[in-house]
Formats: sequence, structure tokens, C-alpha cells
Amino acid sequence: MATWLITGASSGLGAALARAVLARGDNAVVTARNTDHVQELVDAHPDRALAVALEIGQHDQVVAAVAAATERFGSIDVLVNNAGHGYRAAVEEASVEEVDELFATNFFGPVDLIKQVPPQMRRRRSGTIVNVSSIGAPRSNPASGYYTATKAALEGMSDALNREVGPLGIRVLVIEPGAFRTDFAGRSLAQSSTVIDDYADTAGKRRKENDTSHGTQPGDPDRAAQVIIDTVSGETAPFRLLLGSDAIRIVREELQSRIDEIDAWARVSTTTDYGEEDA
Amino acid sequence: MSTWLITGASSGLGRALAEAVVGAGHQLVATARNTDAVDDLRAAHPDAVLTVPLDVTDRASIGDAVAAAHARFGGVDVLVNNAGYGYTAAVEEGQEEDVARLFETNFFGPVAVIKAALPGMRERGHGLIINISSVGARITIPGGGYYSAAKAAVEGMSGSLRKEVEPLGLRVMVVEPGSFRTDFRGRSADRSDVTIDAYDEVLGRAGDQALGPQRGDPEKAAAAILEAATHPEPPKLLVLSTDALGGFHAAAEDAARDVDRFEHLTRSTDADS
Repeated sequence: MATWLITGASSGLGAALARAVLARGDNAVVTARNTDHVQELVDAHPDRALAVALEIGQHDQVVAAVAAATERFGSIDVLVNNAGHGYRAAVEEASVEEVDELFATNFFGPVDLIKQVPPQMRRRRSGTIVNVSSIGAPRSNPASGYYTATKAALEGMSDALNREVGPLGIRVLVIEPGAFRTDFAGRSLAQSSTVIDDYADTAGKRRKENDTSHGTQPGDPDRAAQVIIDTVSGETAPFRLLLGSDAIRIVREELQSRIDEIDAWARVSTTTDYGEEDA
Repeated sequence: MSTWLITGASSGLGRALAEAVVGAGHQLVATARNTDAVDDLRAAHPDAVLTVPLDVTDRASIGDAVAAAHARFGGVDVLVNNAGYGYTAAVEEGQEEDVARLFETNFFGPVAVIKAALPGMRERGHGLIINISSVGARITIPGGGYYSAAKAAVEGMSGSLRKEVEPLGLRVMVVEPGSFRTDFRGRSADRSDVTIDAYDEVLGRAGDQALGPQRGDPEKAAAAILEAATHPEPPKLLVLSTDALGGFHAAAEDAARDVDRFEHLTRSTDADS
């Protein structure tokens, strides 16, 4: 029986994962800014679920959450950094404060939590760190530059982490979901208060009031939760796992477009090495 | 003739690019935290070169530098976000203050410079923003997690920026240099004060592990950037060095293989309707 710590377990993918983990008989430490929102999970499984208040970015709460989880269940076997939110703004429209808050929640907060668990995982030479990224990491859409930046940063950090802790028996898994039928485009999406007219046809079209994708996303959060559990429990896992057919299409398009681009400029790219005479 | 503004023009790739830009007859706003290091450029080309102190972590100095460029040359045609430095630490070893400073210089600083330059570029309906990233944005090594994160953030932001400003006549180009013979491993490198023994081996701290020679020539890199920047259709992404190009292909092939291998799992999460 494994113990999972899942951040942002009050809604969406985090809530679906917490329900599935508890349903299969594992322990779950479910965190949310307000524990009222995860109380239902604890009431349903009082012996195996623990609710902990955690506002990502609050270092003291991060340390306390890890301590509470370890005290109650003895260890954390699987850490799932799921808490995060979106932010819509043209690069020029964003305010420094809004972007700082986004990075605190989507990048620095997860990093803080990640740094708390390796000591116990290194001792046991086992454990899994799951970082929930987004298809927005490989694909930069208008108005999503900062969100993409936080998720690309999360993936870049995770890649190095994987190479660092892999030899110590710890696995790192990045989840890249496409669009799922969660409240991501509703409650989880912030946007800039500043609007610049020049961006009406690009970033403006993706502001919340103009975005019609909500409610029609192709992904099923419960199925995503099952795939995450199977992957974490399984023998073989990729470093990066895409979720949803739309994610496959997008990643293939992005990979191909980058290859085409660098191939078109390969002649220039290869002119910069020192020649034999300079060595 | 166009006007370039280059951050971190005092050394390395920034310095080489500054020399190439002036050599090609362009006007240059050469910025550095300490302008002493670029004074010789101004002395040699007093009509074409303006030197301005700019620390990308000091928002006031950014606004002042862009204003000075407008006052002297009427605007900035090409902005080069080059200032930045490296940081080596296992993720677990990274110190919060160090990482915050790294992101200030390598990500939030360039964002602030871009935001300062955009109004002028939009008003004039043209401009090119060049963000110097690193092959490290895509190819991560142990100890390079935070540096890779900051550079990957720059590239992710740049992709959206490009889609936002292209319809307004502006261009965005990301440059991914491989390993160049600059001071990047010396003056431009920071590392964590805290080390954890468990990571000594994987970070190459065990015994003497010599780094390979840096095969890239900064002057040739500058010439390549200049060629791409002055092309009618500048590339969205320019990789510099044969090693980086090979690494890019290998990383893309690995990623594509993982997508194929786990495709059945990926598709199994779709809703029925």
C-alpha cells in the first residue's frame, strides 16, 4: 500500500486522482488551499485519507505538509505536483505581480515541495515524483506565454531532476495533459487586467470572455487518473507521458515544425565551429 | 542600417555580436552593468555607438536605456536579450535566493526589456526581438535543472510573443547556442554553496572530470546571428554549432519515440464523446 501526496486535490485532475488512489486502497494526503474542499474525500476514507492545508508558495506550509504526511503514514511514496493555474495575457499586457504569483504557484512552489521529499526517498532508494505539466509546455499559444514559460520551466527542471535522482532509485514522471473536462478554463484561469487593443486579434481572442472551449474538452479526468496510477505502479514508464489524442497531435506537429525550421537553417548553424586551423 | 540594442555586450557572445553589428555599419546601443567594458567600442565608432548602463534586474535602468536609444537613434530595430549566466546545482541542492536571482536575470529581466521595447516597435510597425537561449533549454544535464528551466521559460514565452506580435509586423527569433569559447564557464557561472554527497557522482564532482573543449567560435556565432537577423524571413529558431544541431535532432527523435511507444495509453484517456 503506497502513500500519495497530491497537491490541488480539491478539483479537476487532482480530485480525480485522489478518488482513484483511495478507491484502490492506497493512502492519500490531499492538499488544498482550503481543506473544506477536500473534506468529502477524508469523510469517505477516514483511515486512509489526510487533508492538509497547503497554499503553494507558502514554504512553512510545505514543510508542515510533508511532516504531517510522513508522521501519519510513515513515508511519502508518490508526490504529485498537480496544483497550478492558467493565466491569459499577451506578454506585453501582463503585470509583474500577476506573473510573480503565477511562477510562485506553477514553478517555485512545486520546486519547494520537490526539495522536501528526496531525503526520505533517497534513504529508502525508492519513490516517484510526478509533475503535472501541460500540452501548453511544448505549444506556445497567444496569451499563454507566461503559463507556457512556467510549464516549460517545470519540465526543464524535471528533466535534470530525473537524471539526478534516477541513479538513487527515485523515478520522475512528467504528465502532459491535453484539454480535459475540468474547471481549468473556469475557476483555474486568471487573466491580465490590462488589455492592449493591438492584441485583440491574437491574445484577445483567448481571453476568458471569448474562449468557448470550456465544457467540450476531449479528455476524461477519471481515465487520466487511472492511467497515471497504472504508469506509476508499472515497470516501464516514459519520462514524459502525454494524455489525450489532442496532446499527441500537438506534440507531433511541434516536433516536426521545429525540425523543419532548424533543417532549413542548418547550413548557417554549422558555420560556427572553430576550424582545424583554430584548434 | 538599423539600430540594435544588446544586453550583456561586455563579454562573450554579446561582445562578439556588438563588434559584428558595428562592423556591418549598423548603429548600436551597447549595454552592460558596467559600461567601462564597452567604452572602447564607443571610442572607435563615436557616431554609431551609444553605451548605456543596464542591469536587467533593475527595472529603472531598463526604461532609461530604451529611452536613451530612442533619443539618440529614434528607436530600436533589433533588441538582443543576451545578458545571462549559468548556475550549477542538483535540484535538491538549489538555494532559493540563488534560483530567484537566476530567474531575475535570465527570465524576468529579458521579459522586462521586451515589454519596454514593444511600445516603440508597435508604433513603428517593425522590429526584431532576439532572445539568446541555450541548447540547455532542450538538452538537460545533471546540475543544470534551474538553468534549463529559465531558458525553457524564455523559449516558451518567446513562442507566444511571436504569435502575438507577428501580425503587427514584428519578428521574434530564439537563438540556441551550443558550447562556445567564452567566459561562460568562468565569470558567467554560479554554483550552489550547498552540496549533497549523493549527487557527487552524477554531477561529475567525483574526481577530476575535465570538460570537453568548447568548439564554438563566438565571432562566427555573431556572424551567423547577423545573417539570420538581416534575412527577409528570419528563422523562429536558430541553433548554433554542429554539436547543438546533432543534440537537437537526437532529443527530438527520443521525444517522438516516447510519444509512439505510449500512444495507446495516451489515447485511452479520451472521453467517449
